[in-house]
Amino acid sequence: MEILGSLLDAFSLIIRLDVLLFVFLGVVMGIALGILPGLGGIAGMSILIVVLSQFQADPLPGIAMAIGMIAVIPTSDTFASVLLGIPGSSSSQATVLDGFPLAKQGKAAQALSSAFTSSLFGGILGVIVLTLLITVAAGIIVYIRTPAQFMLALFGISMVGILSGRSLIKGLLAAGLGLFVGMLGEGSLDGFVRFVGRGSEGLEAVSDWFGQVLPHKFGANAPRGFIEEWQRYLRSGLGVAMIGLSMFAIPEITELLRQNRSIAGDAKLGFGWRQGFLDWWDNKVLSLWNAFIGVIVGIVPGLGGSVVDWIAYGQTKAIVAARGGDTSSFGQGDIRGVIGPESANNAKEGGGLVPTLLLGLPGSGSMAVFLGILGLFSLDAGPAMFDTTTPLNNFSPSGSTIVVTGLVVTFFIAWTLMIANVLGTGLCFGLSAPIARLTKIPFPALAPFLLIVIFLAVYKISRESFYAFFTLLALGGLGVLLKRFQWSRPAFLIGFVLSGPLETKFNWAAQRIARGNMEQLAWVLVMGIATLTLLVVAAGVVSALRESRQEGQAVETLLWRQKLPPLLFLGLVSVVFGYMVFAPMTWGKQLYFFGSNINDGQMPHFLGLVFFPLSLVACARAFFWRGEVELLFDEERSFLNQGSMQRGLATSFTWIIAYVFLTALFGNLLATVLFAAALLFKLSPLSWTWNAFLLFFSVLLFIALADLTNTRLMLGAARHLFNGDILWFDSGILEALGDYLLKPQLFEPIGSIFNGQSK
Amino acid sequence: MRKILFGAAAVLSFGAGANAEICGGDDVTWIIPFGEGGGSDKWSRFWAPLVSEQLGNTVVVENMSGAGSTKGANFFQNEVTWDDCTIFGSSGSTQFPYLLGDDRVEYEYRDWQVVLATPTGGVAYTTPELAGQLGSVSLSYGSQGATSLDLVPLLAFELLGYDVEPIFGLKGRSAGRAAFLAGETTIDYQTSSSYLSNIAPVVAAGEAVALFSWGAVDANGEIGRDPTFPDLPHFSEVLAETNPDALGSPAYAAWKAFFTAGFAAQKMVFLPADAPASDVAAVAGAFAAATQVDGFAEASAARLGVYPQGLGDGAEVLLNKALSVDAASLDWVKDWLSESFGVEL
Repeated sequence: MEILGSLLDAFSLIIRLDVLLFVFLGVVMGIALGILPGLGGIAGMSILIVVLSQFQADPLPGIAMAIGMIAVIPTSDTFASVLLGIPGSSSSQATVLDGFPLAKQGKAAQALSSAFTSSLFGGILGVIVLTLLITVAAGIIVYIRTPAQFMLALFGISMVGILSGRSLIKGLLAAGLGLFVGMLGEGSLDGFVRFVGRGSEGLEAVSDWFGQVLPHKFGANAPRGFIEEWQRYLRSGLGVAMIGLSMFAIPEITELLRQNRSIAGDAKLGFGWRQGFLDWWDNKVLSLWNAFIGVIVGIVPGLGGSVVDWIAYGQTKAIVAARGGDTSSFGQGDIRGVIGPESANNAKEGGGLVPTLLLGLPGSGSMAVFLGILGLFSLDAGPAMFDTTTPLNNFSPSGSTIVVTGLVVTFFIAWTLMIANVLGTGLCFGLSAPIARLTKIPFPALAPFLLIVIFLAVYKISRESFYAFFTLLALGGLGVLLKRFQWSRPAFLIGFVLSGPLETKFNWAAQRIARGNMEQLAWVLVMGIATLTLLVVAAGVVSALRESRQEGQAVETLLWRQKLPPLLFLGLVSVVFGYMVFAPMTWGKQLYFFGSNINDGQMPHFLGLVFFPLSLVACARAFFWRGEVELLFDEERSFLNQGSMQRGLATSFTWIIAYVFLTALFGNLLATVLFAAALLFKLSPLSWTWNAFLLFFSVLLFIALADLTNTRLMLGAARHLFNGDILWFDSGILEALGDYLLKPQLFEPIGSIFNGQSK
Repeated sequence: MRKILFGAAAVLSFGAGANAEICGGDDVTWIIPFGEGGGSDKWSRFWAPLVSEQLGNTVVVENMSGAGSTKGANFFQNEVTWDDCTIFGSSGSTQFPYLLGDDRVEYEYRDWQVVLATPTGGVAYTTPELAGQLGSVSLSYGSQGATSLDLVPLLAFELLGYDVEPIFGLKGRSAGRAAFLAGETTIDYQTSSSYLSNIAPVVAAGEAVALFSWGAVDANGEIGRDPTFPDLPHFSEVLAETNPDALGSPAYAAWKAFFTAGFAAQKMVFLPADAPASDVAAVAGAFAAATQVDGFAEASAARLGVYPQGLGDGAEVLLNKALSVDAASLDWVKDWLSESFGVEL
């Protein structure tokens, strides 16, 4: 009965006006993210983290906004898939196969209508399954003890590593890199500064050499000081938003900056809105089946994301064939090829929330960021989310009579997902004409806006530290390489998120086991899950072997020159894992002692012992084995063959580097003006007046965002260089300009509108 | 897109006050060196909106847990200047490693500028099944570490003759509570704010049994019942009943010294060393003004417990109390830590 009460309490919370307003806002942002290239759901939610820190007095609207964003992307990304033939996100690739041909036949409206209806149906089914599972799990979840949770975290990481990419070994190594980055900085067990502490003589020598070479205006100690300051910044560890943006925003933007392509030629909606709905009705059993597949794929950690649509597409064809239907029309504009994947890809969000909320195991990148958002509001996924006795004070708005407990928040999330689905589908239907027009914006015209938002977000969440930009650059560079060689970036993100829990849970389990103080049930669970892990790993290995054998037959012969980039990257990764093994040995910790408390050196060392040999095996395999395909994969080769890129990878990434260095020299404000101007006038294919107009608006956006988020801007180093000789660089002038632009709270009136509505 | 971003941006602005006096109106970051949901977290999230209102700046709580709170404290000492517009909330678990000379400690309390000191208490509890046989069964206790505030309960359990197995390395009392509620440990304690909101309902539901409070220290340094839990015996009462001889032992003297240091000013708010006096006064004033708002007394009693808040000079007095432990007790505790837990200081 408590459970039913919580369900009803949660419903009365969702119908609050401000909650609905923020679901709506989240949905609108999600639609934009689904349609426009460059930023997907993960990057969008990472930016949202900055916004959400303002919701501490009343977090429910903030959570509602995040859910609104997650819920709508699988619906809105259909626009790009159908109208342009480009998948709007990774989970709508299969929709392109039949959706785009339909659009070419002038039936885009029919395809969209079917897709939206299927999405809505799948989404709601996902919520229903989620709600049922929560109800069942609430009673069981308390039996999952810490040793079992440790095994589960391990299991989650292995699953994600194995399933989220095409190559088993690359997936696992990517998760390992994420674990490494998650352990940078002060450890949580005895506060030791891991990997970024002082005392690295090599680094000091290099920075001193740079000090000699650089113009002496900067001073000979500047590079060394820079490294030390950067290490200081890294000491407190990195946040999930930083990882989300560097893995999922920077690589995408870098790629889009390489092409001049305006996104769409001429997207026409055509006719068939009613017909689309009727088509869905005729195939409702197909839709139901695929929605169930979507939920199950969502529940399995690591499987979600990019495969759900393909599984559904395959199922759809199989079902049609089994019923004796004709499958030859698939790929040429068969509406069933749209209904299948779209029913599944939205249903997976409900499924994905199951392991995330129940066990703290995010199955996909966006769930990993969502876990971070819950943490922002003192919510700890796991048993606490099913608690019905302890009221959460920070969740009870003043004047409300509802006692908000963990379970109420969990049901609140489910209700929000439901409402967001309905709202999102409604908006996609209602606004399809203007949205279709949005797809015509050429990317370079959009790039300054995206980069401004990302840079400001990263700066703000890093306590306005300048070193945030360099960290973004370094990790973004890693993200670009992971993308280029097709290493699973979701696996990296999930490894990062789980590195903390893995360590603390291991610490607990090790102490209990060392004292022989283990309960039977926990043992059973641990053993059960351990077996399962082994089974999955084994299955993964087998299938990987099979795959590589099959693909091995059609291997193109690669020249050494072509093999070099992926080999170098593999070597670099091995060096990192080697560092993970050997660096802790110099920290003066007892690495092989268990009993009272493990120390900060042990977990990195042990993980290194797992991943270092694995990376060496990968190196050996890539180097010696002629049949190797996956480990030597290089996106650049296929781009080169297709001739689809106008600019090189390095050239494009240099734009992002340039923004950082401009900021270092001239401060955020001036750098943004210069950068946006250069980018627009150099790359954007629009007319001069349009570009000038966009420049004006991007600068305005920057000032507005900085003002509204109370961000203090920084001044650049150039003012030291010129010692105020040149008037323009004089810090006094810049400061005065900043004061003039920022202090009068130019945008307060807009803020107060929202203010009034939300309180 | 622009419109959408604008909307998102506009949302940010509420709470950002026009009448802010410090940091040019920027947000104030409040570092809490513990995980979400513990006593310090509850305490800071109680204060943050109240102080935001008085100060004009939005106060944003940031949890930086790890290494028994020394991670967050070291960060505040080494990395934060007033330019960062950051304040720090310390707890007894930050004080003890400092007093004991733990080698993880890089911070110096005397460098910081105190604006608020909150005394608190705590309540120990166990499961209904074990409540009747505490002396004779083996118990487990989830702990942050032997040199944290957990020193007080661990020593208390030993004085009472309980057989307690501690499990170290938790990220705060909230993790200890979660472990107890999940049935993984069998005895636990929470500081008052967390006990009131998290454990009192569980006790009321009959799923846990409150054993005793730690008590409260009066002006003469004597320990009496905690005003927040007047119906609950305090630890020294229970000890007098079960083992009256222990009250005269050096172990009890050490317990009392550390309890007084740890709980009389258990939670404090600091500004960094370089904050100008005017800003310190502004922040202190905001805390003081928040206590004058209608309904503060009731809200604070319900969420933090009935304790007089140390404001202004009162905060300074409590800080001094918190930093003074006699040498004999200090030595005794160091020996005890070394013998019982192998912690060498």
